[in-house]
Amino acid sequence: MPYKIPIGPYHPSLDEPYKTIVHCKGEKIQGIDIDIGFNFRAIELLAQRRNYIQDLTLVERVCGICSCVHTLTYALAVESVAGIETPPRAQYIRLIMAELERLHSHLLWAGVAAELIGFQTLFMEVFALREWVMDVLESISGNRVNYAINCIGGVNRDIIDTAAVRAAICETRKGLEKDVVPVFLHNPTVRARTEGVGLLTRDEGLDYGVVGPVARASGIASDVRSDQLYLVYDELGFQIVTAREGDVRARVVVRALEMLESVRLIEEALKRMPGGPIRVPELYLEVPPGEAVVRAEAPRGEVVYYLASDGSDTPARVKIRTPTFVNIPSVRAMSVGQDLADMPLIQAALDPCYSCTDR
Amino acid sequence: MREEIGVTSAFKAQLLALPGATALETRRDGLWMLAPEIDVVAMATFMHRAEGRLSTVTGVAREDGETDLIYHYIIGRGAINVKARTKGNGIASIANVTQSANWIEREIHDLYSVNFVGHPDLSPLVRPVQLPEGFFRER
Repeated sequence: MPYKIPIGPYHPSLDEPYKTIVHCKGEKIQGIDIDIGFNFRAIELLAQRRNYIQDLTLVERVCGICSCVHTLTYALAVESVAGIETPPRAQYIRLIMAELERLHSHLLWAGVAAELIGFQTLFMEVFALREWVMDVLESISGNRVNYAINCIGGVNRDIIDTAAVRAAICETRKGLEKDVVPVFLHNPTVRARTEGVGLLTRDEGLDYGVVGPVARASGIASDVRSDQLYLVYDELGFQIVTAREGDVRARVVVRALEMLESVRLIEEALKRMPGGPIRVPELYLEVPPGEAVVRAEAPRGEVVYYLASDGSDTPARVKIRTPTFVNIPSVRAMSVGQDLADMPLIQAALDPCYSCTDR
Repeated sequence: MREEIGVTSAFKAQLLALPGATALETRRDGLWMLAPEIDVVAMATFMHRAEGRLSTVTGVAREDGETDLIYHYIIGRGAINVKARTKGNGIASIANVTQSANWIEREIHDLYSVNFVGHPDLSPLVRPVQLPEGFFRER
């Protein structure tokens, strides 16, 4: 006889509040209802009541994990409307911070995934490695969560001790190459737990409009870093990572290999970073009437900002589309026909962020 | 610009042939079409067949009570933004054409009170039930 299991909005296996109602027959999932909105803060509306500078602080609070990409995309949108060109050094620093953020986000996810698989040793290894990255973020910005690195027209802080950053990233790379990536790629326990679980075909992925590692694991070669010219990804020869299988294992593999690509990009950027100013000299910038759509690749996928200006010091409209907002509904396609016991792993493989989703 | 990759001239011609379509404008952030009268269901069906990804839809409240809806599509490496307009603050839903539109339209219904005709379920998505629909219209 079919039955329903409510999970959430508050539940030990969930980091943030949201609710799923799983429809089952025996142990097999027949359908799923998802409720969001428990973290809704009306950030878009608040952004229309604050000036452009205050909004930087506001949008940094959209997400606790990928705060940097929100200020980056917002700043890029304002700069696009105002016609501001950021100095080359600022673009390199923005890229380094964005990739450090991706690295720590993917490592956080890898740790959570290891714990859900029941692989406690791997969890400890991954989190020890993540501390190297957190220390680098703190040494550059002074903060571990909201870095306040981006400003309109550049960045607020320079990277002065590049040798120390390079040394810490080198340690991270060694740890990734020696332990984390080989385990996620080849360990029989990880394979057994993830292969064939939570399948999302390419067509389903396109229909749901999924983005980021979820899309790339289903054979959709979409990454804003290669699709669009922004920052200096093209100068560093960014390499997109994709897989075709569309299961949890493919998502694991894509994220694991992306961590190595992020490390390579950071090392390359540190080598090539030019000198010069880190922001435009004007302190007070005028934003003329206009509109712009800007996309950037967050750890979880494409972030979209639409910004409209009426020429005043307050944006007329700020629209924020976060990657998890489009990725979560695809859980329906991933979970039907799967075992109920795999539900936490399927959801975790999305690397969901509900704070972002609700805004 | 690499933005153009994936958006062929044949694709543009078919897009321009849609009911209510207007001229395409090239901007820094991709192609724009300001088409208040466009048939959004025909547009969504065409984009779906062309493997276009609906990135999101932006609702912008207008002073006359209507709402501008900007459909942001990604085709290959190209971005296409189509700005449509509601009539009586209503417009046809594209949720039955593209799965991803389901939540996007529900959210716009919450925030701007737009009636998406034919949407399977316009129940609150992010809006707390204590707040009325369309509370984003009050600036």
